[in-house]
Amino acid sequence: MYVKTDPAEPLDVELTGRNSEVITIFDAVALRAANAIQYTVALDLSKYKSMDLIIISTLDVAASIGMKVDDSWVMVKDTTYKKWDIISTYGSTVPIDAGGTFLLSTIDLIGAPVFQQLTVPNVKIGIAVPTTASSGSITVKLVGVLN
Amino acid sequence: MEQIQTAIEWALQQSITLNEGTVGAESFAVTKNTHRFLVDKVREYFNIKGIPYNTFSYEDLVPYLGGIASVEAKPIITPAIEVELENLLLAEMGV
Repeated sequence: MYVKTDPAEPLDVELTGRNSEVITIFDAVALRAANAIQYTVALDLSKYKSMDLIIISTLDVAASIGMKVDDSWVMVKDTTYKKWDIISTYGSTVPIDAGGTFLLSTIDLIGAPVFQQLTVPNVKIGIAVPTTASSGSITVKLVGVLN
Repeated sequence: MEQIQTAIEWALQQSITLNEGTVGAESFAVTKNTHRFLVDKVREYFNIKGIPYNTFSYEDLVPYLGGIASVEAKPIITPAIEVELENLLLAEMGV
């Protein structure tokens, strides 16, 4: 193995990663009453080929997060590993434990039939608490991988 | 609403410790730019004072932040210290 010893020698740089953008879709929302729910505005996800959600919750109760397309919840299949798996039928939401940081990965938007027919911004993401929360907030950032 | 303004002012004097009780414990001052910390502390103030509130977010606090002076970290080296350092350096060089 070759080891550089001269600090002046330029480092080899190998670019990795993906061309992506980060949007804060919920900015420290202090959910309060039982069954309180907040939605984003309609989002245009057509420019992304996949996306992840970073969720930071300091709420003192469990919360949930879901996605609606044309006002129908799209399925979240794998709740054990908190991985989104979208199908075009009515589904459920992902549970978010009280406190902590979670990564929901990876939504393959191209491979999901429900997204192939999207022509207008009609995707909403919602967060909710089933019971009254008395402290903390929830922040959700969307990391979209551009087409 | 005056209570929100007071809550924000109180929150901006607080700090938050992450990983409390562990070797990785770290304290952060609450500032206008630490959205999550600010909201959590404003909520804490409402709870302490028994002020009723509904769901709110950082966006709801933004209109109240304009009148509050920024609490950005002050530079460690002030102009006075800078002059002193320069004098010390010159003395060391025998100038």
